[in-house]
Amino acid sequence: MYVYILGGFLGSGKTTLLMKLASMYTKRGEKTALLVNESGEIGVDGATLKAEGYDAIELPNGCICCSLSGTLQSALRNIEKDIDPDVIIVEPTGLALPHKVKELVRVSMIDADETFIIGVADVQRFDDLIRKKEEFFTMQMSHADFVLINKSDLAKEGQIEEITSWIKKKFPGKPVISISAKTEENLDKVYEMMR
Amino acid sequence: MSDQEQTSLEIAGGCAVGFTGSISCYNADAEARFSKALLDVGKWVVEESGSLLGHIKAAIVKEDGSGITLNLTDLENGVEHHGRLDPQEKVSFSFMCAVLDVDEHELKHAMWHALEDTGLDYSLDEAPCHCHDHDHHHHDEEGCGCHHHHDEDHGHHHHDHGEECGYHHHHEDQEPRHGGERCCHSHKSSRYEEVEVGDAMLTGTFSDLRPESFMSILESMDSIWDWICSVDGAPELIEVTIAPEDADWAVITMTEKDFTLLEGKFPTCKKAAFRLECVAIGVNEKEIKHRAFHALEDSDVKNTINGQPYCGGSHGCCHN
Repeated sequence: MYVYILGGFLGSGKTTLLMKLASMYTKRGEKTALLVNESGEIGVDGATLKAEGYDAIELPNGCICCSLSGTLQSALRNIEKDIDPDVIIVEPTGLALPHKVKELVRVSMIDADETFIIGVADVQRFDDLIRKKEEFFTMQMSHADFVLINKSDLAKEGQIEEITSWIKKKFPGKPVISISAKTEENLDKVYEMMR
Repeated sequence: MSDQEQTSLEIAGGCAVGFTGSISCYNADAEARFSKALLDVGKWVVEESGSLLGHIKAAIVKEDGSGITLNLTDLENGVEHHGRLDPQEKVSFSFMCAVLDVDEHELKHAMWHALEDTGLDYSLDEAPCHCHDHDHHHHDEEGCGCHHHHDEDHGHHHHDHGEECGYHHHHEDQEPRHGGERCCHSHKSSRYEEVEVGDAMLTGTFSDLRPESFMSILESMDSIWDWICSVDGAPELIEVTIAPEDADWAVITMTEKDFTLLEGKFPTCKKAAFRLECVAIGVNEKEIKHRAFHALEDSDVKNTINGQPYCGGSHGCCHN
């Protein structure tokens, strides 16, 4: 069983990517469980997934990397026991630190072969985010196994190159792919990188 | 996690708040109105923090959980709509916002106002007022879940239709919560025990109410509001309750300049009793009553006002 954690800031397109990845695994014939977390007491992503025909386990009202850490571990154990999936995709809140989630997966005692973090950056608000919350964004991306620059369909000329250069400078050696989860641009490259 | 350890939310300087509730008579227009509420909150966040770093979302669902979601992450892109929902008598909704660099309570406040401004027939599962520190004004024909809460903790003002209003004592006994800071109701910073609160009520009968009478009544309310401001008062509330004999009551409430709320359907009928109520800080009751009297006299709506004559002078006494 593989666990993927989608790490990225609020509104970076994690839920859209989650749906695409779930579809891809379903087409591959692999049993997939989705776990979504929202920091507010009101969960909306679960409804979004349901509206698009996906079932997901929702963990609202807190962050699974901190306040809901115990809930996350219980949920993972229940998923393993009840569903026994080939893949679990975890979408933490956009204010979560993915490496903390990964650590919680490790200590949750589920039989995961490997756990990966997919970092998701957002073309549109990259500059604002770096200007205002560079440290936080860096923390979010720092442990990603690879980084996706999402919303390439909305990028201005030269923007993708600039962001790629920033990420590569900050995290030398980390694979960076520009994608559009919405239009599915370059998603095939992402699928190739996934187990 | 130790008690001292910061949550990621705190590290990021973010906050996440939301409401749940239900909407009656849901249709495409309601969807568009809700969508506008998201945009309004988005604009507010940008005004407050300089950018919309985060997202504003809503789910509108039927009993079986199916429905639509709305998502706003960028004002230029607008609100994304997912799913499809046909007209429904009643739907549930979740409305949430997770963003950076804004005050959590003010965000909730802005969300509540955005919802109010939609004009949707909605109700919340939990009263939002506990964190709003407002002197809001509630109508409770069917009973409000937060009535006791308000009565005990706040200086809020409630009406149970058909009953006399008891808010006078709240106003006199309690300090205003707004303090004049960033207030959405155009209140002025004041302490009720230091500044006079004028509360005037006129009752009477409207005759020959037609659809266009609605605008005339609004103009009268508007003129009272403007007059209060012109004498350096702070209008709190102007409200007209119309009670036809054979139809449901309608209540027109003005709590902000250029913002009125109509509860119920404006009646068209030969006769209807009315009650006009005006509350303002810094203006005495007699002055407001006088002005309200003239506002109704000048209105195109035929009316008779109960009680004593409210103006002893000529018609020009206060019109200039």
